[in-house]
Amino acid sequence: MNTVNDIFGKQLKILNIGLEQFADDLTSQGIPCIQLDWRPPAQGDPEAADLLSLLLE
Amino acid sequence: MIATAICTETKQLIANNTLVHGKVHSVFGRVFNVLTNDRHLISFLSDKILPAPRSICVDLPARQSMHVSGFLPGMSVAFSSTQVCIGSYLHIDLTRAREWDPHPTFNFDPIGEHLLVENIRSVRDILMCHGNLHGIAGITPFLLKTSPVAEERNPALNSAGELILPRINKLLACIISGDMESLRHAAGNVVGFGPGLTPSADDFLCALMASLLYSDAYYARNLSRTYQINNAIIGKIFERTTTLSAEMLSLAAQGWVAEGVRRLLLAVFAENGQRALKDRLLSVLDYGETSGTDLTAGVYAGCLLGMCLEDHGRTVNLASLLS
Amino acid sequence: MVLKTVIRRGEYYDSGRLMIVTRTISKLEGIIDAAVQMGTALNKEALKRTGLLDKDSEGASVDDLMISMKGTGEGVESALVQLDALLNQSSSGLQDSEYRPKTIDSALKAEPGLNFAIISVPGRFAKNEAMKALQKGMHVLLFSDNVSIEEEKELKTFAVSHGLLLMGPDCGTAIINNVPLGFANKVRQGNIGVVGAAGTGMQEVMTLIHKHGAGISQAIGTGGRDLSVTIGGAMMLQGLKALNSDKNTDIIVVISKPPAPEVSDKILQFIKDECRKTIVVNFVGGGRPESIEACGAISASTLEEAALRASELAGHANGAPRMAEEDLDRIARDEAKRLNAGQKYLRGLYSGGTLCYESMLIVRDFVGDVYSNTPLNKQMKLLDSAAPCKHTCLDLGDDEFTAGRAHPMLDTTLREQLFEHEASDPNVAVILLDIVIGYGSHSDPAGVFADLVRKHKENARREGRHLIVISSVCGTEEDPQNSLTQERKLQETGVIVMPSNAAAARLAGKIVSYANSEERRL
Repeated sequence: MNTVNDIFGKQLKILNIGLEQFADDLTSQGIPCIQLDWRPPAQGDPEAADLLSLLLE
Repeated sequence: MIATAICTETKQLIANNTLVHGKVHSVFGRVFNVLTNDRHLISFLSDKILPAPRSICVDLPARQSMHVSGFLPGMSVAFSSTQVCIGSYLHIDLTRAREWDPHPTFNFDPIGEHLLVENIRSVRDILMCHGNLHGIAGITPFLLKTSPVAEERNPALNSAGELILPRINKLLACIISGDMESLRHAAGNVVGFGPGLTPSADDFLCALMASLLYSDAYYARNLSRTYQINNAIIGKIFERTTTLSAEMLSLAAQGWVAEGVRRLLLAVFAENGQRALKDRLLSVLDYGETSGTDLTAGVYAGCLLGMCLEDHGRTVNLASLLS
Repeated sequence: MVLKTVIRRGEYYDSGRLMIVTRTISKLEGIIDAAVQMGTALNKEALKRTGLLDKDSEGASVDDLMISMKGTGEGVESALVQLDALLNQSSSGLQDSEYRPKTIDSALKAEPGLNFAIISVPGRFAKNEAMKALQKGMHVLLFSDNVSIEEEKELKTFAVSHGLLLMGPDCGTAIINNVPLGFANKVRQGNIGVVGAAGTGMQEVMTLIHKHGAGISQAIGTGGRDLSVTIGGAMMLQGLKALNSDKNTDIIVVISKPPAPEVSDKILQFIKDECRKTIVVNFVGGGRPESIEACGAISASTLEEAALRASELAGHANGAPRMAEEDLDRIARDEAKRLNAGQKYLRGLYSGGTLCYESMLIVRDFVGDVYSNTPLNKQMKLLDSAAPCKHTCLDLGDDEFTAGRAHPMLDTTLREQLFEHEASDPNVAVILLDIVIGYGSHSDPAGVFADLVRKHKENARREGRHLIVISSVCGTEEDPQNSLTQERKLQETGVIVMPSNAAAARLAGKIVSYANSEERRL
């Protein structure tokens, strides 16, 4: 069974989804971080986003 | 979000209930556009960008895009005099916005004419040196065939420039001659042409039309001729180019341009404008990808044409252009 | 030779993007010619001249995007496959030529070892992104707010059963493996673990621990709602368990606003039954110290005290000694004497919610309950949050001030405006300003406010008033802004810089209580 302790002491490899300042701050400290090019999932009605997830599951 | 600036016309349209609702048309990094019930485009710009006609500037945080802020194409938009509501949870507070007047500034103190010539030369040189010539701006040295070829950049025309140069020269000749029917026809062969979200030739024409008006003001000419000419140019735009571009062209025909372009025109024509000229040129050249450069080429063309209209003797090779 | 046109209707791409697409496709192997343009009549004419016009592009309307390409069969196919990625790269609109993945899956393809996600998208999209990340085995820092409590429960239930951290929602602060995440400070690594439901509370405790010479092993944020009845302290317990089992952690500090009683009981029960380490608990302003101590934990009444006790336990406590009470008193009297008769009130302008909360608790001992947008006493809620009256402390990080704008720790504009307003109010005696630095925060908040303080102290002097500004800097000398530089900038303009938020609040409380007392009126 995985526990939270598994991450302690390991190199963090971070994915940033949203505000770019968080990625910039990490990069400036030399911490590996990827910035996701995020867009809201479905065009038009945001409610459709959830429907989309249901369909994709 | 808070609106920091609002175009006075937009504010009035909202106040007299002309502007009531709309839908988000497109979303970019620092801008999103709304297509309204009366078929106009209202741009919402980050306030790091200078205002433009019909726009509303908002305090978008520095490292945050409009996408991450939650704006989506298709979201419904409702306008009231205190706020704009987008989708079901986004609001823009209008109560603290300062007003921006889109009307052209014609009451400036005109600079001496020898300095005007210097300024127009600077416009050409700086655009050829610092601009992005992938649109149609490469045609600049060949317009009206009156200016020598610039030394620093080899203005070899790209295919778009090659195709459009004769048509633009024809259009410029029609402006000088005043033949409205030919002008309408010539414009139809230019509007909607070129790469970019707003086609390159349209950016050129917007700046051309506005510059002609400023030139009229400089020479204290009656503006009605130019208004007629501009109306002829934009006669059929709604079928010939994109919604976004058509909107910009019809505004530019009245001299309504983005604040950056207005400041550039004042730097060219007004007393005490020279010192700011280079900065304002570089600022406009920075717009979009090629938009800024194509706009600047239009400014150059309009200024040059404005001088020709004052004294036909200055136009070289005009006869050959008209044939 | 194959000619293919892709038409994108109703999708608008900025010109920079269109240029990149044109260039990239044109350079692909097997592609002879390509053009990307809007579907106007003249552009179609141009395509015809270059032999790129086909049925599809002919039928395009003015607002359609035409992507035309001519080349070998494989070339065109390969271009079509890449088209989507090219069109949707770098939607942030910022200059960027590197590939940015669009989905969590493609990110994992590019970097299979991803083990952490920081999520700050708008609330209504946040849960889906967080769940996707958890399902891929990543720990999550969920910065977004406006996530429903049901969604939070679903996320945390999943996280707990899979041994993962779901720090949030509305969680801005964490330090994992000495890496500051979100709004966090660069602190010494050491043997004190922190788990908290209060972001700036954690920052204050951690930076004070650093000042004492001790260090932080891990700091786990739980999000502000974790200790509600519905969530039941799920992440708090997850964090406590982890720190309890961590060989590098000897002391654990728990920080939160007072939890719901049954949740408080649950946490304390766990501490009593399972925790082998020494625990310091600060339920800011609440929690019954006796019940905390009955479980074998140490109760601290302020963030300052929690940091001190933890540091003492770690063998460090001499770095930043607490100011002697007599000294504090002396300063308070001296300052109060310089106020004019009309100056009576205290105004707190806080960027950190927990710091505001702690200050209100401390000041209450001196002048009673104060007005606020997030008051301790419901009856003291301001009708108009932007119109302080009498003694007021504002939490400018609260939702009503931050909807659609950047947090006040990053964007000082609103606080500057309010400062100018309060500093011009002739009835104001003291202004309290927290200066929170570190990653995520403004690059020079002290610099910004130093200028304002200078200007307004001068104005006040001219008008016969004495404006008192008290601050504390929550940060370390290793933060990008450097706490020592920040403190100096403030001191140079006459701000009284106190070593902790609690000390600043105590001084402010003392001053206004003297200003309003009989003694002073004599």
